[in-house]
Amino acid sequence: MRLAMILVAHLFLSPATGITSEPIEPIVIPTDLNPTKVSLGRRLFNDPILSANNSISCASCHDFKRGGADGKSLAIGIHGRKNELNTPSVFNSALNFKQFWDGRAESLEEQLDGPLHGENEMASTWVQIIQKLQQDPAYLAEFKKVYSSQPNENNIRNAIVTFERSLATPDSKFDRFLRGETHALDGQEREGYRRFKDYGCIACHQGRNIGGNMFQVFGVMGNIFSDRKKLTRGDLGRFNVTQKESDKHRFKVPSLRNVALTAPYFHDGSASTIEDAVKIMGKYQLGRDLSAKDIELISRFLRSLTGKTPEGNAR
Amino acid sequence: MNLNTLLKPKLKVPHFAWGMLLLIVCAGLLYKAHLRDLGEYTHTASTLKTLKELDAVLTSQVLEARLRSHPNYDSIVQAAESIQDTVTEIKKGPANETPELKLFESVFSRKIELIEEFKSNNSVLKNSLNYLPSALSDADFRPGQLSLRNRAETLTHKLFIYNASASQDLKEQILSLINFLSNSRSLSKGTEGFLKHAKLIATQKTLLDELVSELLALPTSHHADSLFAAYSTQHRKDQERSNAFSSALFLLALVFGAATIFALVRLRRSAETLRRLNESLETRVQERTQTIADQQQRMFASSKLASLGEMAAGIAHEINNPLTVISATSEELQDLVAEQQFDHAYAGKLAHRIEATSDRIAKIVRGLRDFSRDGSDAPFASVDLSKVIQNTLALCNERFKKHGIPLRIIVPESASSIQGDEIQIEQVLLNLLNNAFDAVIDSPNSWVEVKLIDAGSVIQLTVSDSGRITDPTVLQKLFIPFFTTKEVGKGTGLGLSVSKGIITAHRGDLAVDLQAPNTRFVITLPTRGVVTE
Ligand code: HEC
Ligand code: HEC
Repeated sequence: MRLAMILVAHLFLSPATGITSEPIEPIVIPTDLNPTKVSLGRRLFNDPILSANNSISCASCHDFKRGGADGKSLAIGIHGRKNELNTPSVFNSALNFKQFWDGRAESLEEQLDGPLHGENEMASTWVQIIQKLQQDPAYLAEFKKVYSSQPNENNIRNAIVTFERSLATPDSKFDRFLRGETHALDGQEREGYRRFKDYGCIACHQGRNIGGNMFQVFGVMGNIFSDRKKLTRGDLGRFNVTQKESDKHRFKVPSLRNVALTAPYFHDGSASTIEDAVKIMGKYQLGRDLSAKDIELISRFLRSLTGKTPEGNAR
Repeated sequence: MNLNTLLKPKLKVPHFAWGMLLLIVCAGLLYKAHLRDLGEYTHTASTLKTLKELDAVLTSQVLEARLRSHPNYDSIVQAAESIQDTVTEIKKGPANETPELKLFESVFSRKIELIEEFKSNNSVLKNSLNYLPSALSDADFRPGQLSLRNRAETLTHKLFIYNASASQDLKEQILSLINFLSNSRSLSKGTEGFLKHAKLIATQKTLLDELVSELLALPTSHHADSLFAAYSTQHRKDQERSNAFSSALFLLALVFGAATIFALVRLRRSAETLRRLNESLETRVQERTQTIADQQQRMFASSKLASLGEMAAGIAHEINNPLTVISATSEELQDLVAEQQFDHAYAGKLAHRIEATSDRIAKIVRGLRDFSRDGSDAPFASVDLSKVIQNTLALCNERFKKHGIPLRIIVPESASSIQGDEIQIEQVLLNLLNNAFDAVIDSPNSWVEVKLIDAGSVIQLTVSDSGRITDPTVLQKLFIPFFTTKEVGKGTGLGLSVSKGIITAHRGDLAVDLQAPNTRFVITLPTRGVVTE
């Protein structure tokens, strides 16, 4: 009977092609970017000049030594102001179908206004930024060189976004495995990957970025928010964008690339270790109680997703 | 002088203003005509086509993802993003205010929305479906709950079949099974987990069915088509408008050009008026003379043309006469041959007459050809006037005889000759004789006289008849083309003017002798003829 059902399951659910192709693809390095724009963008990304009081830069929260995030559960912005959300990595963010936890920005270009103007982030305005950059001879010269014009909203945006697009993290152990280097992953990591797929983590964390291509409710198989601290606006997720009841607690499924570097986890930084996160995922996203072994193996697999950190500092 | 100063401001101010106005309007139209970038439409049309393709790809990818146990949404995301980009691009295109575009936009944004929901729900469904067989084995039923276990197995089985079907019956069976199991007391944790997934599959599957069927029913393609239709209409209108602008521009340019020319002409003319005011009387007389000369020139040209027509009309008559002679003579000759006694000398004479008469026809025909040329370049030769008279008489003698009109010929002993065209002179003489004949035929005691007088340096050939022209206007207009006194249909009124033309070409003169008691036409010709270099 069981066999029959498994056969039925296979009949309807096995991949249509019959070829066991992996549901994840390796990272490719973008080659179509203008290097002078990338380096100008890198400079801006690292420069606190973009914040209202020249105190913090993008890199303050998106630290390359911390996997492009900040290592804090909730981001801390200008004047030490606390944000209600955890800082996601900027690495590979160009691969995400939308930006932010709630996906309110369609593109990196659109996303940029968020941190720049956010009261709890950099609290700046374009007028201020342009003024400051235009008073800086070094920037004037570089913008002249790269864009043949003075710094303005368009070219500043373009430079930063071009830099962000360059932030790919290729050649993780897992990507090498995907490319056919079977032994790039050890047996436990491979087993972790198998369980990652078998349990169905892959149903949500999938695609080239191992996430970042859909929205999912955090707590599909049980309300994770009911028995917790009081709710914040950030906990509502995509509801803040669509105002639809069904979008409450719905988030962009985060990329798991470099996940080992970006603790703590989740939109509210509520999981401090990978193991915690995996355990919660099993329970609330899969409706499964993962064994300690499962958690260990899957976490090992997740740690194999760390790729080469891109060149970060301009100075 | 003061006319000049009066004219200047009058002309300059309005034309300048008009010119400026026209220039501005032209520039405006030029701008308008160029504003309509028609290439944009072809671009939008092809973009719409791409969009339809993308849309079909997206739909098929969704259907595939619905069937796969481990779907990868990257391709769906890519297709959806391309669609969104394309829609944004189309929104920026022409006709961006049409209701079709709003519908089109809303139908596509609904599609993207549905796809987002689909991705979420499909993933969750797949996970539970994938897990269900294991969940069943994890469900631990106590030994007394065998029927529950069987039901749970049946439920699992039915859920898999339901996933791949749309059976409503099955759904109800599943729901009642879930209901039954849920209401059973003292269920283990494992069984509760199993039931959770079973419930989720049932609800997610129904939800997905709704999503997919709405997705498939979305008239995206239809709205893309109607948007395209709207664009085409707009395109056509714009093209027409653009064409209209171009035409208007062209017309205005024409008007502008015309206005400029008009202004110039007016300026010119005013200057000319001024000049004319200062012209001497002599200049005016000269002008007048020139006009008259021109008129004469034109008249002669037309008379020459018309005389050709008249000659063509008269040719039948002129050739008919010698033809009658030929046929009569040849009849006589045949009779002669039939006779026993053949008079050789007489036959020879008859044959000669035939030859001479056919010669005459040939000459007439040649003359006709020559006449069509300008008189000055006709080959002039020595013309024996007595022979001219003889030849002409041969043509009309019969006619006079028949009507009993005596024809007197007075020719001096010594042969007078001139330089000229024999046939043309014969033409003139024949014409005069015909006129005389027509003039006197109905009157009693009529006569016609041809007289040749050799006066040394000139000869005079006169044709007189018994009639008399009394009407002074007739006398005045006698040589004017198309003037005729003959009854309608008999003459073209060109004979005399043509004759005068011919004689003038021979440096001679044709005139009416007003002193003569009867009608008398006098041809005067120089004996030395035309001096040709
Ligand atoms: C105060 C800390 C802070 C600063 C400074 C900051 N960010 Fe962020 N960044 C965040 C937080 C928090 C989020 C998530 C916010 C949300 O989802 O609403 C985020 C999200 C992002 C994302 C989206 C990532 C994703 O996967 O959704 C990008 C890209 C990004 N930031 C780039 C930048 C850039 C570029 C700058 C500099 C102009 C910058 N950030 C400055 C904290 C910061
Ligand atoms: C139904 C979809 C879904 C499934 C299945 C799922 N996840 Fe997640 N995962 C999410 C969502 C949504 C979040 C973000 C939740 C939040 O932060 O609010 C998330 C976040 C995480 C994070 C934290 C990432 C970060 O940077 O904050 C990890 C690690 C993770 N998942 C691992 C897993 C593992 C391992 C599995 C399988 C056992 C799994 N997930 C299954 C949807 C899912």
